[in-house]
Amino acid sequence: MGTHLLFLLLSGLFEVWNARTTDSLFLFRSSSPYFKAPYNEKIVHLDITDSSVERLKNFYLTRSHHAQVIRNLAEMDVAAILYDFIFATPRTEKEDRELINAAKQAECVYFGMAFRLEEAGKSLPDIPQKESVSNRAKKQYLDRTKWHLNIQGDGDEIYRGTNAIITFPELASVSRALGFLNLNVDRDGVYRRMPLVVRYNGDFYPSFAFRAICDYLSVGPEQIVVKPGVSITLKGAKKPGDSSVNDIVIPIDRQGNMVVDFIGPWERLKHYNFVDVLLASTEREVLKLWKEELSGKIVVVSEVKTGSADIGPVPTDSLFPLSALHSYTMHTILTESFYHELSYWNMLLIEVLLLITIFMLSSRLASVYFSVGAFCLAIFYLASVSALYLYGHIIANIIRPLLVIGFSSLSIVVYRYISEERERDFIRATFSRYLSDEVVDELLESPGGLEMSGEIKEVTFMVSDIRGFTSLSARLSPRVTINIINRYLEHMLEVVSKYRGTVNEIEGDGILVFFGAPIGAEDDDERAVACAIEMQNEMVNFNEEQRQRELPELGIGIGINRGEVVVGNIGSERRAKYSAIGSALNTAYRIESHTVGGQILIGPSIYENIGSTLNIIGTISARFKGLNEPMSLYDVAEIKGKYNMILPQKRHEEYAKLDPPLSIRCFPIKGKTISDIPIHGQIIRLGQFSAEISLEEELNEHTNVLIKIDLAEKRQLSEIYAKVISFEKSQSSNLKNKIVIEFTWVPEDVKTFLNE
Amino acid sequence: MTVFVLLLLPAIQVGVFGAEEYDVRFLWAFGAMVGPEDKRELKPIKQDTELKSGDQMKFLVGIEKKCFVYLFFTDEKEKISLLFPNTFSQFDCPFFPKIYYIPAGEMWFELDQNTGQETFYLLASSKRLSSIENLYDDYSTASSKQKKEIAPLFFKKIREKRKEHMIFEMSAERAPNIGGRVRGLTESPQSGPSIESIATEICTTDFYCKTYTIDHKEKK
Repeated sequence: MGTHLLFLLLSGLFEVWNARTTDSLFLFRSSSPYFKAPYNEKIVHLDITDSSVERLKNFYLTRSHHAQVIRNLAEMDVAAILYDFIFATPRTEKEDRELINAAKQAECVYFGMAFRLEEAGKSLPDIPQKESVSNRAKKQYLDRTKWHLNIQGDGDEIYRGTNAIITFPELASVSRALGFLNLNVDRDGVYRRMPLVVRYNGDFYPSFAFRAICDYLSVGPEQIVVKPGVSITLKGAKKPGDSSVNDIVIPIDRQGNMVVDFIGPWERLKHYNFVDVLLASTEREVLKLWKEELSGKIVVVSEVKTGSADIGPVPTDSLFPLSALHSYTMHTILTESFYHELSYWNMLLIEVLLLITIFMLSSRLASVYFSVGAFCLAIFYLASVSALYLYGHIIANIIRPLLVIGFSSLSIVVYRYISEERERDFIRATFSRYLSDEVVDELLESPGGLEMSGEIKEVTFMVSDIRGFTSLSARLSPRVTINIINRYLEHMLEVVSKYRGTVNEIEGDGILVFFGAPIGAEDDDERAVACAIEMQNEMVNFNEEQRQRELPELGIGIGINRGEVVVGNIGSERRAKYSAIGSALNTAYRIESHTVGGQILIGPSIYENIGSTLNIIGTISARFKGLNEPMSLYDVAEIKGKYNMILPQKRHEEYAKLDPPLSIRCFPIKGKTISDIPIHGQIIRLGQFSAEISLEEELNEHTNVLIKIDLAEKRQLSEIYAKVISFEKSQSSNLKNKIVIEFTWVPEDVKTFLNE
Repeated sequence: MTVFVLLLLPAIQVGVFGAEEYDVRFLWAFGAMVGPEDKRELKPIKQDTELKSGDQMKFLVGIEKKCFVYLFFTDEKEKISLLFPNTFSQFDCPFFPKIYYIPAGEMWFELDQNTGQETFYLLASSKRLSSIENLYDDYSTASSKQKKEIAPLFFKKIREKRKEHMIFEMSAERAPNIGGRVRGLTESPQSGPSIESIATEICTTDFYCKTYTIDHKEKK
């Protein structure tokens, strides 16, 4: 639409641009040895040149010279002599008589005339014609020789010829015919087409070249059918020496112009010197030889000496003697090498097809590839237009479709850029919360990084949680709690950032980190494990800080798992979050729930991938909801290879036997719910971080428990949070079940008590 | 006759500047004494022309550089004669520059009463025209019946030779693009040939041929 609007507003500029581009095709063809069109040597030029002037020692040729040349050409038996001259008035009786006699005897001489051409609806002011004998004779001649043609359609747009200047009637009447010499120049001053007929006084008058070629092909006006805007048909055209008869259909525009097939520059035509022909008659033998050379040819006599005004640009020549336009017009008709210009509607259809292709490309390709595709489409169109021109003699508009491709591609790219920028802003806003700027930049640069609508990916999940932090926070002031958690996160997130993990979720003291989403890498698993070990190592520093601040030390458990999940932006337009959905993530949470402070457990998929680079110090068989078989979890102590790190040394535990044992009540915790029904038992052996307990009932390994100590003096202590590390069922009915628990959270008062 | 030869002399001395580079170089004159006997005047023959019975003709061939000049004549009955050289064996003799008059000395050919078209063929070449020489030898020794068969071949050969060396087409000439108009003086053709131009030096690189067809008319 935009392109069409531009063409409408700046039609002059674009038409010229398009015409010049088409000219380059003519130029290419005429200069290419492979595509060069053949030249029919039936049409030749007889030139009055500077060398003619030098040889004759006479700048102004007399009509006697012309008469002699006409006589000689007639003697040489040429088919037609086209004098690109208008002998507008008589000169001297002797010379005129000589010329008239020569033309009369030759019977094949054509002279020129000119009209003032009027376009339909653009009447020019009348130039009054004096009533005189010569004007009357002129009018009579034109009325006598005008053509009555069979017009099929509306011929009103065909040029109207007025105010004729003709070769003086006495000479005109002995000539074979007159034809108008008017040329049609395009807006940019280049001659590309030739009007073949003009309307004159209710009928038509032919152009110089058209008239001569019609006679050459034995086509009279009664055999010509004009369809304005479509064609002029020469019915029953017969080429001399060829017995076949055929109809020649010449494509024309609404004004009656034919596109001339310029097969080359001025030099492409065969040229003879006027003086050679003039002097040929001085020797009969020479005249005979010339006859052999020119017999049966159409000879266009023209003046091309210095100072000739008839020079102008054509597609194949910037300084083209315009008399040869008549030659090329005849050549085009004689060789039937017509060019058809595609109509406005044809071009519109092509442009629609191009637009559809552009939109198809845009729907399938990313911006860069789309741009390359659009460029290739433009090249393809250019190649197609060239092929149509060279092989089909069809001229298609070049510039407008290219602008259609260019504008539509540009619009799509700009639109995409704006929408992609918006999406990038969204991604930056979303991911800068979880990722380092470097990773966000990498994500934005990544070709697939913007595929945020949802995809299935292999992702490694790392879940960490502070053991017993919930109960700790209940005992601390909110300010201190926030202070602890913020410092903790500062330590941890720095480590995560170092290992290019995507912090997806911070929920209280829990952290969920993605490795492999949104950007995947070969070493996602290794980085996840290395990150976990460094987080545990970093906890040593963090706890040192805690001690200095006289705050409780903390321990974290980390679970790692890998699996295929769906990742993408989940949420509404106003609030969306990059999340993952899938059992692998849930399993990661469950693995983490089996850890104790300072422990890293990995799932089987991680072990399969990088097990060989890990030092595994234990294996836990865990049964998860929804899984028929128990899952093996691997207790990681070290990663080798590129990251090469070891977990902090496990604290050496020394147990003290309690005598008498300390009575306790044990409350199993399921999820977030603490059971109301206690299991009674006794602490048999007590360490700083763990204890051996004998319970009256069975308790599964990895069960989180709340332990309350029953003191004799009825002192009420804080609860201890712990995880069952091992369970040993007693075979004897007397003995109780023995479990080992590891404290996940021990309040300070209990610590003091236990130390005592 | 003396006048004719004397008038030729200044022309003979005229040399074309740079003529050394041409392989074919010779002086040529073809003159006719026309008009009433008491008022004859010399007319240079430069192209096909009309002469009358009783008019006289003479030729001059001045060989300046070794080349092969032939002058053949055909009368109105197409009988072929060799006017120059006397015999082709003349070309075998050692070359030295020399002026030949045809007919020799002070004699002139005089047109008889047999009217019609008579043609002179002047040929010059840097190489001997053996094919033409052979055809002429065949012709000169043939019977009158055979002569009628050989004559067309002889003329055809001359035409072929000429066509071979003739350039019809010219390279396309363009006028320089100037901002103005050129004006020149109209020079009317000269009123008549001057006697000085009877003899001209003919120079060419390889081959030269010119025919003169005389329309021999009856003297009124």
